[in-house]
Formats: sequence, structure tokens, C-alpha cells
Amino acid sequence: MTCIRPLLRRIALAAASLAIAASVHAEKIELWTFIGAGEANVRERAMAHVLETFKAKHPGIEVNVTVMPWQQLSPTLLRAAKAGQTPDVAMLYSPSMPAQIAAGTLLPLKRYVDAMPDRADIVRLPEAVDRQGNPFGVPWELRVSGLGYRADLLKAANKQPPRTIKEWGEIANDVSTNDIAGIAIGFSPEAPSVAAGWFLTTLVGSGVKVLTDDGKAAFNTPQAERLVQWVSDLATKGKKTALPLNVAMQGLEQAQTLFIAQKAAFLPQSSQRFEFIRERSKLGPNLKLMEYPGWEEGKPSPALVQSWSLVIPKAAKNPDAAWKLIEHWTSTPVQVESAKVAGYVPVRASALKDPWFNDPKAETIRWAVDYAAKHPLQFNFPENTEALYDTWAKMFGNVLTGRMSPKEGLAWAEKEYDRRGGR
Amino acid sequence: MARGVQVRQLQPYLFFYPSLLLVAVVSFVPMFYAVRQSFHAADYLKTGGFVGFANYVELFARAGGAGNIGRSLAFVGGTLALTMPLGMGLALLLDRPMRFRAFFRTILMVPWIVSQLVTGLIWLWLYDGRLGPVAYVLRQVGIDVVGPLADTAWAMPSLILANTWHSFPLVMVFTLAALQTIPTEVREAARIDARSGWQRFWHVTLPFIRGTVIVSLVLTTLHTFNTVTTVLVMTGGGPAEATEVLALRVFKEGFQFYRMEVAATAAVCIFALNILFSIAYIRVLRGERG
Repeated sequence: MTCIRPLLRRIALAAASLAIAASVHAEKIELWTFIGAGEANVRERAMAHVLETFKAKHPGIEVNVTVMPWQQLSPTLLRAAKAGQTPDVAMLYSPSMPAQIAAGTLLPLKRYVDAMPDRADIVRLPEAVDRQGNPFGVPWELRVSGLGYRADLLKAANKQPPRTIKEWGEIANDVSTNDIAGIAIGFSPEAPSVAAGWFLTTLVGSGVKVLTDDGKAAFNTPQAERLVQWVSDLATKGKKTALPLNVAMQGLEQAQTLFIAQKAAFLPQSSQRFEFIRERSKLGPNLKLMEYPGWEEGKPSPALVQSWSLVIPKAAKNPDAAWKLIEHWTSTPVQVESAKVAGYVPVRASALKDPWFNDPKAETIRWAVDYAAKHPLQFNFPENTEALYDTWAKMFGNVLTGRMSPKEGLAWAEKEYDRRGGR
Repeated sequence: MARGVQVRQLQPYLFFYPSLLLVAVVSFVPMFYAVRQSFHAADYLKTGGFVGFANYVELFARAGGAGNIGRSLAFVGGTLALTMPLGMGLALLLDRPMRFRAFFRTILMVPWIVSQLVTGLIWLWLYDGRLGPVAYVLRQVGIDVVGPLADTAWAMPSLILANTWHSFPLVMVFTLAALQTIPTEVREAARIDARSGWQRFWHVTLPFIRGTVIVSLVLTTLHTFNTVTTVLVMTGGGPAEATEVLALRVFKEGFQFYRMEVAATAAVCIFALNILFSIAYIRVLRGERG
């Protein structure tokens, strides 16, 4: 007994030393996100699942999470890069990616991506890649913009979903009243992304290049004029209820609120919002989704796919551990679970083989994947999409208030966008 | 004894310099950085070569800077024109003995406590041409309104009204505090001598509170020139740029379009306007005292 005690003491000491050594060598990574881990909503629960499963898989890596408003992530990362105080991983919205790549804040991920045996399985967004083909971010979720509509209103008016833009305007006009707007779309510069995104895909779908290869504006075309004229006519001619002026001059949140309040028939919006809208509006199966119509029947506008990506800043202290988190987050099991918990559209084709995606709950995801696969958008996003969208929002403001004709508005917008140098 | 005197002489500086250092770090350094940036090119956050006044020429000759300044002046002027009489008037009312005075004082302070974001959201809802209560009531009586924020002529006055609601409590509290410093005997003498309430206010009350009124005027001017959130939330600068004030331009250029040189140039202009207005107010105050 007396001989065992010193031995036990040594073992205990050795174990303690190992534990201390392990904690000293535990890698720490800092994650900047707009969603915290918690129980408050489905997004927080999905985030908690990602971090818990990562911790179980990599007990030696500690993830320190900093949550900030989504609008702040890109500008804060830019400032942090200047100060050399970046996190190891950050979430970035795909339209912000080209600016960050141009500013040189992000680490090229080619080395890591090339080492992935199943890299072809993951969706690759053009915004996350530079001109040389280097990837700078990996998406962890996708959203596809499309047209939500009230099936009950269309049925009551004995109408089918629109097959062309012209039909869309006519139906919007027919089903609208003084109380119910035909289309809830807002061109306010306060939040023009949905309206400008719709304008972009419809232009591309009608054969407009939008920007030249060197980034100059090329959207002052007859097709664009026809589209702006269509918007203007909906707002200012006839019943003026197909696209009421007070809706067209608002931002996307007000347009969405109008639809939730069951005061609008059509709502262009991003796929991730439709589940929320369905729940809030109590529309249930009366809320249907469809592709953005094009000018010709059977030729819908291409799908605008955007995403939140995971990036590693150049000044990251622990890029290898950061990559492990990205790899885990975008792995098939985590993607499937995130779709089940929060309705995220997976970024991996293999994830969609899970039988859960045949469930009615996955209807929006199936619709989004199908639309994006059948009608992909071919467009090289500029360094700053927000500048392009802001210019268009101002142009629509000028046209809808009668200050400019569509032709004048487009000419002004082209000049203005080029003057700003794409930013 | 001599050491005691020395310490007493040093005391003000010991209190003053740490604060000065703090102000220098958090205010003067970014200010000088902005001034420097406005004379240089920029690529995102990288400062480029010296360009002289090119950024100013670009802002005013081609990028609508003069329009932004004009809208800022209208926003500030309109806000002051409503805020100052409203704040002072309410202070004069609350200075009188009345029932529930403490309650009214508290309630009237609420708009100042509310953040600019919430102020913007509240007024956005009030002005909403379809779901807002004002539009609803008007529709019930047969008047179909588009909504002031969708109208280029009404958007700025609507913003001014929202900003007035947010700003008047500061003027009210400052004025009320100043009113309470007027000696009772002066008030009683004025009540006997002055023919009307207006005369009493103009010849007796105002000279006593003038300094405080000027301070609240300066603060409201600075606050309004620098207001971004309310404008951003309510209109984003629209419709058709009718409400794109200079402070919003700084925010958008800096944090949305990453054109730091333009943001810095516009920020320097706001700073210059703030200084100009403050000097003008102080001169008025000093002139009248002199």
C-alpha cells in the first residue's frame, strides 16, 4: 500500500501535466458571425448544432464566437484587416465578396479546396472567386430569389400563375384593389437588394450583358428600357394598384410586411424568407413560389443565387484550424441537419440525396435547388454590387416620381455608375 | 506652504489633461485622419497619393455634393425652426405650477430617450401609405394618400417632423433648467411691470436664459447635421435623392461603397459646417452680451 501511493501520486501529476499541456496547446479560433448559438430560433439552434458537433470532432480546437449585425460584418472586417486584428473565420454575404477580394483582406483558399477529395460536390459561386479562379470563400447556405404569390387570390380571379412578364403585370392589375397591392416590390435606396436583384436577373434573362468585361455599365438597352417602362406603367397608369407608388418607393422589409399582412398578391423575395413569411402570414399552402417570369413564355429569368460564405482573412492567426471549421460546416451531415433545423438550402449536391428532402417541409428547398439548377444566372458580379443596386434604386426613384423618362433614367444611371468607377 | 500653493496651482491641469488626452485620441486623431484622407486618393482602406483638392472638386462638381449640403441645410433649418419654439414653449408651460407636472416632464422626455433607429421605425410606420394609421384614417374618410415618404415634395418635411419629435426634449430640458435659475423677485417684478406675457418673456425671461438657449441651439444643430440613422431607416436618401443629406452620404460612401476618399471629404464638409454654425451662434451670444 505504501509503495503504491507514490506511484499514484506520480500518475496523477503526469495526468495533470498532460491536461495543462493540452489546454496550453488547445488551438483557439475566432469566428465572426451574425447568428449566435442558442435556442431562441431555428437559426440559433442550427448554429449550436454546427459548433457542438465541431467541438465533438475537434476537441483540441476552441471556437470563440463574436456575433454582430449582418450589415456590419463586411465593413468591420475591412477595418479589422487594416488594423491587423481579424478573426480566423468570418461570414460574408456573397455580394460583399468581390470588394473584400479586391481590397486584399481574404486568404486564397485554393490550397485547402484543392485538397478536398469531394470538392466538386460543393456549389461554387462566381462572387467568391477572383479572375484567376482562386476561391476566397466557401458557402455554407444558399438562397435563391423567386416570386411568391397568393394562390387563393389568383384562384378567386380565375387566373393561372403568370408565364410572362406581360401576363404578370396584367394579373397583378386584375387581382389588385385599393386595399390589396398587385406586386409588393420596393425600389427605395434604403434596401433595394430584392428589387434590384430582380431587375438584374430579368435584364440578363432578356440578353443584356449589364456590365462590360472591364466593369463599365452596359445596361442602357432597349430591353432595359422596356422593363423600366413596364414598372413605371404599373405604378402610374391604369388602376395604379398593380404596383402602388407607395409600395414601389419603399424598401424590401415594408414590401414583405405588406405581403405578410395579406395586402399584396405577388412578392419577389429570397427563398430563405418564404418559410418565415408562410408562418407569419398564416397563408400556409396559399403561398406558392415560382420562377421570375421572362418576356417569353417558357423562358423564365435566370435564378439569382446568393449565399453566406465562410472566409479566412489574410491576417488569421490560425488558418488551418479555421479551415477545419469550414470543412465541418460544409460537410454533408451538417448540411442535412442545418436544412432540417433551419430550412437552409444545402451547398452540397450529396446532401440532397437524404430522404428528408422528399418531405413536404423541404418544398421551398426543392423549389430553390430546381430553379437554380435549371436556370443558372451567368453574370460576373462587380466589385461592389451595392453601388450598382444603389444606382438602379435612384434611377427607379427618378422615373417613378416623373423626373425622368425610362430612357433618360437609364442614360443617367449608366453615366452615374461609370462616374463612380463601379463603387 | 509653498508646496501647498504649487499643488493647488497644478490641480486644474491634473484634472484637465487626462480628459484632453482622451478627446485627442478619440476625436482629434480620426478628425486629422479624415482631413488628410480627403486630400489623398484611396483604394479601400489604403491611402494613396496626394491629390490636392481633387476629391473636393469631384464631390462638388460631379458627385452632387452641393445638393447634399443644400438638403442638410434644409434638414437642419427645418428641424431648428420647429424644435426651438416647441422645446422652449413646452419648457415655459412646464415651468408654471400645474397638476401632474412631474408626469408631463417625464413623458415629454421619452422621445429623447428613444434611439434614432426606433424613431425612424415609428415614423416610418406612421407615414406608411398602406399600413400606417394616418393613411388608414384618411382612407376611412375617403382620402386616398400615397404617403409622404413616396413624394419628393413631402419626404424632407416628413423627416424634419420625425427629427423634431426626437430632438425637442433636449431644448425643453435645457430651457426648463435655465428658467428655474431666474430669481423669484425678478419674476414678480416682471409680472408687475410688464404689460403682456410676450413682453415679460422677451425683456425679462429671454435675457436670463439666452446662454442656455444658444447651447441647446448648437447641440441640436450638431446633432441634426450628423443624423444618419433616422434618414437611413426612413428613406435611405430617396425618393429620387430628395432626402440624401450629407451625413447619409458619408455613411454610404464609407460603409457601403468603400470610397473612403469621398466619405472623408464629405465628413470634412460636415465638420466645417458644424464649426461655422457654432462660431456664428457663439458670436451672436457674445455680441449680445457685449
